[in-house]
Amino acid sequence: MPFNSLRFLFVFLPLVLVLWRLFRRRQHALIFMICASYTFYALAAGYYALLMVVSTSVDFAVGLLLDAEHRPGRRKAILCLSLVFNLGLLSFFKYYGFAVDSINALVGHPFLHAVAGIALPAGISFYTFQSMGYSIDVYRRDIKPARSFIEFASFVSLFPQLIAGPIVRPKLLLPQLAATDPVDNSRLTAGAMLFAAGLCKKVLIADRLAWYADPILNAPSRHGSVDLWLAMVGFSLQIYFDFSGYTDMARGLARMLGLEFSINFDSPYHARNPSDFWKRWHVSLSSWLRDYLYIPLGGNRLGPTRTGFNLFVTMFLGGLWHGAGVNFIVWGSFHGLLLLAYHRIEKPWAALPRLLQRSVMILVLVCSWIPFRMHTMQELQAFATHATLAPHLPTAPLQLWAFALLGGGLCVLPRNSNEIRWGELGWPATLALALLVVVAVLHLNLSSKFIYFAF
Amino acid sequence: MPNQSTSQTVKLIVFIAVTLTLLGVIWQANRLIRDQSSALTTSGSEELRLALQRLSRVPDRGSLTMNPGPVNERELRHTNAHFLSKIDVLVLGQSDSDHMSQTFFQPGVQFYNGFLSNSYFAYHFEVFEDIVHAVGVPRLVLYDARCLTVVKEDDEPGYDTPPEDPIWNFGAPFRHKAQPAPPWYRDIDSLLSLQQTKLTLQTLMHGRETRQTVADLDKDTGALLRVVDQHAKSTVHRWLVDGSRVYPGEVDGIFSSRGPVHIEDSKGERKLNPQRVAMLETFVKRMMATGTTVILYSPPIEPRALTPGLTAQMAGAGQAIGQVAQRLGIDYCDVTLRGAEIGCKPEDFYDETHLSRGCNRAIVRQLATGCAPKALKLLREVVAPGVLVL
Repeated sequence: MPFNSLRFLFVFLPLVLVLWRLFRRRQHALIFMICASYTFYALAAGYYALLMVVSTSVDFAVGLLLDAEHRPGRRKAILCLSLVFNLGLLSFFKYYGFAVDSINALVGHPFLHAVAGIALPAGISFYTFQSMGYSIDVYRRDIKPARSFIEFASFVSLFPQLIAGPIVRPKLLLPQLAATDPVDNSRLTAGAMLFAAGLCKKVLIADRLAWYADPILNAPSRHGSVDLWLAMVGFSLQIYFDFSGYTDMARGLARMLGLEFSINFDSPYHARNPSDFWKRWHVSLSSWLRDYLYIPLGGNRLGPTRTGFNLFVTMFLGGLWHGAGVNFIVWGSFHGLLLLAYHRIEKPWAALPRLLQRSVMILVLVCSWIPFRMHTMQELQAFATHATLAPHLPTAPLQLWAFALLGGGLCVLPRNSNEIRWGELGWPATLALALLVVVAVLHLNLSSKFIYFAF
Repeated sequence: MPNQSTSQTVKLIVFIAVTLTLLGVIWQANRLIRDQSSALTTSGSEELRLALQRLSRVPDRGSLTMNPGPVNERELRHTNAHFLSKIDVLVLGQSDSDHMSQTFFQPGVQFYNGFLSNSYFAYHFEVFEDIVHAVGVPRLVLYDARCLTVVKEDDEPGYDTPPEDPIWNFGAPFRHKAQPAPPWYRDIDSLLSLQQTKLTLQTLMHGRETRQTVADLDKDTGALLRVVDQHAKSTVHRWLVDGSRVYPGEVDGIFSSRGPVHIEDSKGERKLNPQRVAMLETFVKRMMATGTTVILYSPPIEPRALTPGLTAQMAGAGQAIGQVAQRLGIDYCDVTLRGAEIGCKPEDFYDETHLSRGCNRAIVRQLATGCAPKALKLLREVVAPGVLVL
């Protein structure tokens, strides 16, 4: 039941919002929210919802054990239990098939067999990271462990962020879940408007871009360079509007429930350098990787060579987090190398005019999306060949140009959806948004899955 | 502050009211438009359209009674294209793929079986093109390129073969037909073209007009174009909402009786027809140009029909289709002679070429477990985990 479905918009959401406000006692409201979230999740992932129950129970227990234990060796062992469990879960469901295929390809015959009937449970990459982050925070004594299983279970399963994030830190969300403040109407309004804006971003821009760009990018060897580059610009915009639209919807939903999530996007195509980009794109993941991987590896404290290594490893694993595929490894490695190169030329780069920095970054980012979008090495090779060696007059539909211009125009606007005060929109903007929502609802039947649902 | 909060509450109420009112007005207007005239679509009879609408109201319970055959089925596909949502997996081919089912794929994966009995590749492409125009390019096409098709003596028409050519024995493609403006459009003083107007109206109607039709099932009297219980035995052929077919007497994928098994060799020596192979390549190439992923497969033939002569012919035909796939860089999975090996039991064969849902499931399992290596990743994304288990 994705956010962009009639069932969610007209049945699930109104029901949850009304019932959530009816509960007077926080514990009751949270129990209701866990039930609603598990229903939401089970509709997407079926029996795999049980995995989330196990993951939640393990990390809740780990939190309590870590708090009670003071001997460093034992504490480390308890933390390892959480890490091994969560990473094991993720590795088995996400990477096992890929590993088997890769080994068999290397060996040249079916040396290992994949486990039949295993599918990737929706949202597993997000909730395992969230849950694992909690255990690490408790281990570092950055937070006190959740004393109530209900609070912790609602933290892990909260439906607005369950399938595709943002990966919300326990420090931010757990106190909000424990608080008993009633939801005020101004937050409800602001949340509803933000949610509506996200829906329009997804259905009216991202899905339209996909409609025109996909046929070109799905068959790169049948198109020439102009069309391929235009379609790749289209995809760069599509993925932004798709994911940031989803994030706006998630944040809007949270706000309607009286909660506040961390931001996930901050005008990423305004970035002036690769480092700046990662402070603006999928911020909840990049900051998670920074805090729980890059810094523990030594960050920038162990000299330039080790810093470069740490950066590369972080980006490489960040790429792999997106999916078990060579293309994601290439994508992560590309960004790792980009960051390494940037650190070498940081000073002269900063001296360049800002407009030039931004323009070059946009070009580099469009190129970086190529391995992300081309799923196999053959597709990647076909794209590289035809995008460079097959010049021709453009044949792509005019609509692709139009939507690329529209999306590009919206991307360079000075204010993004985090900066707009959604509760204080004027009447013309409110009515315009209502009209856009109507058009979006009428197009829901042609709307597709969120890209990040696959991760 | 309380004033600000009140104004925001009012704004939210107005926002929701405007949205719901507009949607309600559009829905109501759509009802009026539909009730006044069914001529908004130039394809399909009014009866067929209403039947399809009613079928879509009861996807888990209903089945549509209809006579099989390329003429009726082409009309069904052409009309049905406007009632579909964006498709992930599309099945194309002859009637031997008619039991490919939505149940083989994960929940949320949009599936449609666009098979056409006794048909040309050009008609398959017509189904594909209709769907592309109506709801966009499917992610994956499972194309049943039956080996028997390429050993037929008569030639296949090209898509641009003139409509008057007698080769179009089941009618020329719909796109050849002149499309005069219907009366309802002639009476509108519109700045929009006919196509634009239709698209606008269809967009408004799509997915919503079905709601006003009666959800009850019809009594199965053997009459055609009735929506009857899919879980009950019927004396006629029926179509499910996913485009697949149920045979007379079949209940929940189990055949109650079986058709005769012909011995193909008795029809004379069959030879590979290079023109047919070339046409297959042409149409697959055209599909691929839209960006979809195509997988070719040849389903099993009833082992009792496989005389030594036919076995050799099918092996040759499979080789020719395999070369097409190789040239196009796509997967081809040939299980023509491997029915038993992949898990198709004798009771899975309705006759020499028509297969049960269970046998089609076995084909999908083969595809998703290595028989289609190039598209393996995509298949793993869409195929239901249970199908992968023997």
